[in-house]
Amino acid sequence: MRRFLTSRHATPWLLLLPASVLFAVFFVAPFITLGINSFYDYGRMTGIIHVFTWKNYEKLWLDEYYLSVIGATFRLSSITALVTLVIGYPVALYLTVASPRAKSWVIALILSPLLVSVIVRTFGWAIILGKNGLIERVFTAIGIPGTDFLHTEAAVVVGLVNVLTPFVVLSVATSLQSIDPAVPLAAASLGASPLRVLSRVILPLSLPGILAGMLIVFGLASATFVTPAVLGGAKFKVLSTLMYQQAVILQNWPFAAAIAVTLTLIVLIGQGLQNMAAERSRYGASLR
Amino acid sequence: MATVELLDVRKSFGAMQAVAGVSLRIAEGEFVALLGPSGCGKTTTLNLIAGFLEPTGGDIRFDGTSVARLPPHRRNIGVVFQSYALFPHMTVAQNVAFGLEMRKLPKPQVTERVRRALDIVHLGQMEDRNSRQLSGGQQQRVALARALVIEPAVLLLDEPLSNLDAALREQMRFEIREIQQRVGITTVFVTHDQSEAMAAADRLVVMDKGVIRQVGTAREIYETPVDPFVAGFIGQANLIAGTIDRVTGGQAQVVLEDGTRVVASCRPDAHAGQAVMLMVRPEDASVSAVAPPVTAPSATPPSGGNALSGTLLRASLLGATINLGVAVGERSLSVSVPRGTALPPVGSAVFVTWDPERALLFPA
Amino acid sequence: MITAAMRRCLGAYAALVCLLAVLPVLIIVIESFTASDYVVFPPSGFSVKWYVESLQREEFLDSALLSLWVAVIASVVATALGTLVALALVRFRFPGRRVLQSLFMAPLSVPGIIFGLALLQFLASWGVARDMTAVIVGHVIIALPFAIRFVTVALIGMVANVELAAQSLGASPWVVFRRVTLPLIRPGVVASLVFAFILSFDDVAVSLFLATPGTMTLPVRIYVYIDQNYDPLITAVSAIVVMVAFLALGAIERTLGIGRLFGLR
Repeated sequence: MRRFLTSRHATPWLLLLPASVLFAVFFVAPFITLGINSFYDYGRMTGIIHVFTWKNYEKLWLDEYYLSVIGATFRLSSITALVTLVIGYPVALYLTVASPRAKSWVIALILSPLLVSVIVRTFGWAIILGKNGLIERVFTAIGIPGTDFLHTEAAVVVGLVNVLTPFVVLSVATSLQSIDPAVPLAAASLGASPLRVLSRVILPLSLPGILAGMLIVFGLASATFVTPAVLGGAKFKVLSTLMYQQAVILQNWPFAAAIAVTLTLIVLIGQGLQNMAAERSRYGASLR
Repeated sequence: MATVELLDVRKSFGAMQAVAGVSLRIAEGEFVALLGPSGCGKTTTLNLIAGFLEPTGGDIRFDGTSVARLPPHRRNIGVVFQSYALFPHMTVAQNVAFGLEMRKLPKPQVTERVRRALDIVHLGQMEDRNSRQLSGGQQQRVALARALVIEPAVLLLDEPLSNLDAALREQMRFEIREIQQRVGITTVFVTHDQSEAMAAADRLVVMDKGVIRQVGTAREIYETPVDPFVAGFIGQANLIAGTIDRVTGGQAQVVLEDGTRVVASCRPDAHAGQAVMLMVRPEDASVSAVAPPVTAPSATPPSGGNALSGTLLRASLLGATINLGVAVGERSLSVSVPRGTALPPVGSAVFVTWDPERALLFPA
Repeated sequence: MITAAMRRCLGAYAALVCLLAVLPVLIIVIESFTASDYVVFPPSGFSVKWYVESLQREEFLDSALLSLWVAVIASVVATALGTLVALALVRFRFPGRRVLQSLFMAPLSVPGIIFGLALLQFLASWGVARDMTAVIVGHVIIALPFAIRFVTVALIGMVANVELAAQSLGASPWVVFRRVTLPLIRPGVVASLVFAFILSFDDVAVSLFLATPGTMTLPVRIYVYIDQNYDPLITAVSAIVVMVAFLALGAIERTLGIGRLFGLR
């Protein structure tokens, strides 16, 4: 052992030791605890009851109300993914033709919401969308009074799109960059109009980036908490806000754990699909 | 300065044997070039001497003491890398001083030795330049000064010239040789370029597939290569298959594939009936429009008459020499003659001839 | 195959999207200078009274100080650990390397709110009190993937063989690291420090579960506050948070360039 520790083969392991211990104790173990807790029972008077039960999952997956919350989570994430794509795709397209200066500006500005505290950003949207906010003022000025969007699903989508658009932009831009610039030119030389080049050549070739971007956004949107909590209001429930309510307000930790496990599964499935898409597009690229 | 010994050194990466038992003794102050095609194990051997890799078998000794288990920083070696590997965040002087600081030399002594080392490589005025502002050749010299200033037991050069342009490369190979002679340091030089090795080194070590094929001076290896691989790697060689018919006094009569009989010098162990490869260097052969006089094949001792008839395909002037391509049966032979030699016209029938003393036989 | 006219349209569109991206922050900063006592658009008058007020509110000051401490410690620890991990992963080949690499990247895949809940339940199950250390540990773990990534990029971009050269000149592994490796990966280390700092300073999801009334980071304090009411005071506090983040952002742009962090180019 002593010889091992002083030999060169020990070096990487010694370098990895502190982070590995930290991860084992404060990352892996907590998730194991969470998994175990999700199978425990809970009583309002007794707290956590350490007996095995499927109850939490049965409740979450079979009860009509909780099913509707799962549905709302899927719905919100899907709408957000679609809207970010529609908004982000032209921006990605612009990045491929922009001057380097313009490009770095757009990237910096588009990414900036990621580096601003989610709570501040969300609060900003609350002011814009809420009573006496920018939107209501504009709509009143053009003759449509009483448009308070705060605490609606639309408000949540706006808040999510704001922070998640960069993921679609970067993903699609990477995909667009990998297109051989001669290919669209070839299509044009064969008589395709710019719009047809876009729809028949560029769009299909950027499909991997579109898919990856949407899946990333779906995964991230499904598990955000602050945006639906602040912009959606108390009545708008998705899995993350439901989980917070169960854990912090109702103190039902086993049920909160079951929600967390379910949410993790949704996120991981999204990621698995994304990896599969990336793998397939790499395969496609190697065929070309 | 030290002697360097490799004793049956082996190194494998997984199933791949990069160095498969190399033994070599390098004398104090000797300049040895490891030479071979890429993947022959020469760089791995250098890394083993440096200590960047640990051998999987065998031993490495500096002055008789094993260093095989010592990490590089305790071996007292100087290394010049192909990419120079100058420290980009340090000036020229700081780069050269680094090794001396590691040896905890007092400041005034460091300054003095850095100055001397830079003078040796003709960079006396460059001390305060940033290493990134230097040309390739200058970086090369800084790297050399940095390796030499610590007075290492052995200087290791890993393809140090391959990133320089052709003219500079030519100049640096003699300069490295000159500096090495002046400092008198044991040096191992890795290269895939035979002319580089021949210009700089006392001895060449030709490697292939992880083993040493031949060790010797440039002249020994060029004139008496041990096998077709070495013959083809060092200089050019025409190789023709044949069978020994008769051996007489260090010379053998060989029947070539097409039935032609020729004479060549052979090894003592050559015997009749042996399958061989005949080697003739292009510059040892010549062409003529008429067949040389032939003595009867039965005459003893056999002499002259080494002639293959063919067609002159092309003649290309390469500067000091003219390279000729002659089609002999299925094969094309290469012949090199001095510029100004009178030649038959291209396309005419010619005879390729050579002095039997200059032709070698290898067991096939 | 994009015409000049299309290019101009796309440019105008991209500018609009960029404006929308920064709009909420812009609004916050504008509102924070209002002279009125309630949030209304457009703000009436100009005053800095809400900044003065926010600096006098002890709970915000305490939270800000706590957030700063947590962010500084978490970013230093995450960067130190991340540097060690990156060195091991880039400079060595050993069995299990890929597995460890994915493990250290895993926090990127797990939503912060779930990790926060998991850490909460884990600490509680062992009867460990939630304090500042718990928040720091949580932030170190979510920042570590970024630290590893930044330092890895810097290590890969290093001039070849300089570490071997230093070794051959007699430098021990530690001296090689201090005199050669560290100075050359400094941009990556700085980026990691700054990014981890922002990540920690802005985090709500993980801190939300770990915070107690005594250890409430600034973003959590803001969240709790606007859950009940919002007034110009909180816009001033938010504007301060944004400024801290943007100072850090400027530092990253100057050391590395933002696009490179996200793998573009």
